[in-house]
Amino acid sequence: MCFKQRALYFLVLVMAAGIVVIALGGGLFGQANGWYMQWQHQAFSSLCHQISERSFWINGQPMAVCSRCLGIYAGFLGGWILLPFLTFFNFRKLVAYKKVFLVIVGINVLDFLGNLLGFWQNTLISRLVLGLLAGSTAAVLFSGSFFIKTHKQTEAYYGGVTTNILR
Amino acid sequence: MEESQQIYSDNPSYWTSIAIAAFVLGFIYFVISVIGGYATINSEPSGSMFGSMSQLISGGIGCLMAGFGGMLAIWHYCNSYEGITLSLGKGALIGIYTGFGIAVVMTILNQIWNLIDPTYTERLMDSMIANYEAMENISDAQKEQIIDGIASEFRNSNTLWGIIKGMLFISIPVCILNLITGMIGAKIFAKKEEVI
Repeated sequence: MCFKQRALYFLVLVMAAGIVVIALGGGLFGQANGWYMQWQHQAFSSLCHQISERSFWINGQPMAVCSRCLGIYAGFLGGWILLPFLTFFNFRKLVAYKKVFLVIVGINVLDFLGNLLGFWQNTLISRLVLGLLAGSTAAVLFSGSFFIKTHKQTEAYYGGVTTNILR
Repeated sequence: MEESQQIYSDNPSYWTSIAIAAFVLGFIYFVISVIGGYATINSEPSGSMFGSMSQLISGGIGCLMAGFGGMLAIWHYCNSYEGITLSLGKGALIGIYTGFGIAVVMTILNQIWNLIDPTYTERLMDSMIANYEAMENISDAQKEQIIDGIASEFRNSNTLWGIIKGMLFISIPVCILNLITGMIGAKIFAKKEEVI
């Protein structure tokens, strides 16, 4: 297996892991100050509504992001970690990743609008699951970009005995 | 075909695309947040921890605006230079710059708005404090702590250090998110680089 653009892969891995840890909020570290003032909440204030009743809680404090955002970040991290393993399965021929990604993003938007307009009531878990799907399919878009399965062709060995390339 | 490859072989500048994406999305985000702010100011304190409809809408749209800048910049870049190849690394770089640009535009527009309506921040703070005061499901000590926090946060937000700190706090996750959406944009919109 060939591993390309290692620096970028590890950079994104570290950043995605950092985002997930920060998104878990101050409850994870037992921070004493009120959750509203925690730096984790301030960091995500522009990216998420942070409504506490739409977020999971840890140690009596809501996470810094809502359940859907947590799903997106965690799903992306999970998908990113699994990228090397996906190389061994040739899904590329079976699944059109871009279409799947766009469909799942569309479902998330529909779910948000349907709940907003009162057509249905989504739950913490349903939002988490949809977020997980969106995040993981976003990561899977990059399968084949960092890890490539290499097939040594028979022709590569032709003439190896006489030219000593097999040593 | 050959001609177009010759034209784009020296990597045309991506700064125009970054500036357009950062300004457009930073501006829309600012407008949405100001509308949400006035909706909060003009609403009666409900005492509910469940945010208002405006908070939900502005949060949802704000996430899209702040997060998809990288993708928009790449889309614009690829449309401007049709057939251009783009590596994932370059997509990520464009995404980071766009994310930082969005944070800067948002901060500048917020400061300009504070000059246009100097009472906006204070009224928003009062409205938020009134909402927390009306809450019944948290203890008085917790309530006091949250209200003190809101007051000190708003006080600090008017100082130079407060503005810079606020911008940095916003820009870190926004840059990371845009790095990822920039890479997704490079994957979706750009022509694949030929592997030699």
